[in-house]
Amino acid sequence: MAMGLEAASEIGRRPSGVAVALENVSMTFGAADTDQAVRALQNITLEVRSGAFVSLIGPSGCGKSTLLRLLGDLLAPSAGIIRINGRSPREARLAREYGIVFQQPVLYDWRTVAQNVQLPLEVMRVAADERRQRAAALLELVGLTEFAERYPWELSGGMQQRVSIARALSFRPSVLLMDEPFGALDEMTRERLNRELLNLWSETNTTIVFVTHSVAEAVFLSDRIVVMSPRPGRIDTVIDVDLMRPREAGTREAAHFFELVAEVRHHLREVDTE
Amino acid sequence: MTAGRATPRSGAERRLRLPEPLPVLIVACVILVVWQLVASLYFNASVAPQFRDGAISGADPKVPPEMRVVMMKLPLPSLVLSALVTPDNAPQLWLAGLITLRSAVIGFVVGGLIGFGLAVVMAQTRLIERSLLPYAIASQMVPVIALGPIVYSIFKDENVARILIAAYVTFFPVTVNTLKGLRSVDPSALALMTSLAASRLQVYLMLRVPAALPYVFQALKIAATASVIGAIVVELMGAQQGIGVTILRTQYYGPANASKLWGAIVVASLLGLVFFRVVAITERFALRWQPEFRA
Amino acid sequence: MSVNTIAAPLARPVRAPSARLAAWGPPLALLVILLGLWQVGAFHALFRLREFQLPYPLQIAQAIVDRWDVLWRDAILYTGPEAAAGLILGGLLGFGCAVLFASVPFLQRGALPIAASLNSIPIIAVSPIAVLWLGFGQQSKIAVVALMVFAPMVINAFKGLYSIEPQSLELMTSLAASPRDVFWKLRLPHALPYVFTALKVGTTLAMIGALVAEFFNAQHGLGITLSNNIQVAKMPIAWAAIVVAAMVGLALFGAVSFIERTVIPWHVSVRIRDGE
Repeated sequence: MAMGLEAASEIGRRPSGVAVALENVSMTFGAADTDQAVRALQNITLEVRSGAFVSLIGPSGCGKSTLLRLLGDLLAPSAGIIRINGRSPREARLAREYGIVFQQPVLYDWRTVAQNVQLPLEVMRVAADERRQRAAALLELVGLTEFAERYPWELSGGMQQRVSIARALSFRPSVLLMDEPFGALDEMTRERLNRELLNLWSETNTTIVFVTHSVAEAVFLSDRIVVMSPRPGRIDTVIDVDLMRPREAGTREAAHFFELVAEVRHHLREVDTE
Repeated sequence: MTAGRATPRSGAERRLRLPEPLPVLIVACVILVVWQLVASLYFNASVAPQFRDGAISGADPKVPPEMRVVMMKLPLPSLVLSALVTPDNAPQLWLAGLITLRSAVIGFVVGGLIGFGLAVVMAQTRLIERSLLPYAIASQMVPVIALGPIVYSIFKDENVARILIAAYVTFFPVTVNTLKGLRSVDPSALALMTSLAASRLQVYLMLRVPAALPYVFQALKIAATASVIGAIVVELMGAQQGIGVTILRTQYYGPANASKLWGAIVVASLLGLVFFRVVAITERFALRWQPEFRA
Repeated sequence: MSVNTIAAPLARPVRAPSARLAAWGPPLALLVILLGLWQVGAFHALFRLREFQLPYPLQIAQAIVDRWDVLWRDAILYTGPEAAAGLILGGLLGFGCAVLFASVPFLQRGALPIAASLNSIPIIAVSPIAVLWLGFGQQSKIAVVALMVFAPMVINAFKGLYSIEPQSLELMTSLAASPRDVFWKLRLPHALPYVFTALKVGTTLAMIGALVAEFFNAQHGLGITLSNNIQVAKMPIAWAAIVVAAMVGLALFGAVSFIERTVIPWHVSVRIRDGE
């Protein structure tokens, strides 16, 4: 698909409107109606506005990673409808409308940092000059310009993860799917990367669906938090996070921050005892 | 597998998947059929009609030499198969194979034990390892073909020679892999043992050896095939019995024995394959706990 | 930026001169000791051997010096090139088949086991057949070597092409990459380390194959030199041929290692040199 970079982002960028819509989505693994069937998700209905930052949180087994994979067309739902910017997940994937960041950086060992960032652009047949420019711009955004010619193994975990975020943003997707991207990092790095992520988000106006285990992280980053309950995975509550933006280090010490954290934890405790 | 989605397919979409070992059998049959056709065409094209019977039986001295060797170059699978099962030929072939196999297996066991022991010694200190490892490597550069006759001329007994060579080709991969395996212990697991004040022996038996087993089996599988081939090579130098001897003799006796020659080759290959399979099955049994062997 | 100084990149390991000595010292010392023992007859006493069965190191050295022109010519013009050419040929064929099997699932289950079992065929059987087909010259030797190298290459290359971490593949899926892109940008680079492992294993096999192929059916080469001298019980020269063959094997291995360091400098095994 020799789609130019601009065209892809034009289609994706709807100033208002729904970026991600799920309607009665269910996911069952294994042969249906048998003992081995695992109902990972049941009747998920959710809408995410364009440009919003939404977190999915819940105990193990609540299906949040599965949900993310459904959005990314890495799995097909057993039932229900999913729309990404009005298209099916498959169409959205073929149109390169989303970027994905896993918990592991998943960088290719044989490529330098800059080459890793350029990978999506190569796949989309973007011209070499523009690829290099974009990669350089993004590396500057994530603060890794000096490491452009290094190999992934020379970087720490946090730095590798920043490269993987830069890569996901390199083709300006309208939606960013993030599956516990900072889960493997220590707290201080995590908080720093949270702030960097918010900076990137405000500059690129992407819709972000963010899976996390950390309540504080979810509250700090999101507009809305979707609390999910397990067995089978369902949406329990959706909490609006009405903290002021831009959010900074001080936000984590505000009284309202703690109130929201407590509220989320309350719901989590409820769903975990079911 | 081409890049597709990691999507569980619905029943309708799922492609037909044949149960094992059907695909191998299908491919093997296709190969044999094609081979039979090509060999027949080649034979008929190369050998004039009046010489055809003679070329196969080898009993007709009037058959020109270049037509005689046709059967050796590209035998008819049907004839090879009959050489493997008909009562006048088959027992000799299989017996010869067993003689070679017996020595190979003994040598394999000896070499495996030596290799394992050597690795344990080398694992004790870096100094010993650094001293011995280059020789272990260099020893493999000395090709078996050269050692074979030398060992035979020293020891004179063909069984001993076969066993020694089989042990020789086995010990090196086992040493290297065992060493790697003994060292490949997860540091956290080791720390756990230390915190329990486990003795050195306990650490070995309960942690290092089980950790090394997958690597050891990797080496054993390679050595299984190699020890059979090594045992066969040694027979070049004047052994009286064994499948390698059969191969040599049938070559020298000329084109009349083409089917027998190829039958001997098949037997020799099967020895290696079967031995390999046996080791692989033992591995599966010994390493039941490994993820790849779980259903 | 402060984030980067906290998370400093790992330094590339550098080998100090004393480390080099520590690496080479013990093996060299052992070599000297072994040669010394051999020369004074320790092994002869141990195994009750006579001189004609096991020549002394100095005799072997003498033979190497005396016959150097023949041995050198054998190694450089015949055995060495045969091994190298067969290694390349067998490697290419093996790699091609691995690509084929990785693309067609049926072949992966049906043909891969058969290809992998080709290494069970004893060389001494293959060699005369190769001579029947390709004549007495170097082509038959190259064919034998190629056959020997084929199986390890197919196995390793397939593993490299096929056994890829699922998330690396999912990344490509998420980018809607074409199968061609997945092959050239993911499978192939991922497979390269495996290919080189197979090539390194293949150098030993290639030397053995070339020697065996020459053993009965050649006019020139280390194999026939070895064979001829064994038959007339001129053991020092036979051992000289073995030593030269081992050296050729090491040189071949070194060449492959050098190419590996150039082609895949990024791989773990190449960049970590000292310690584990």
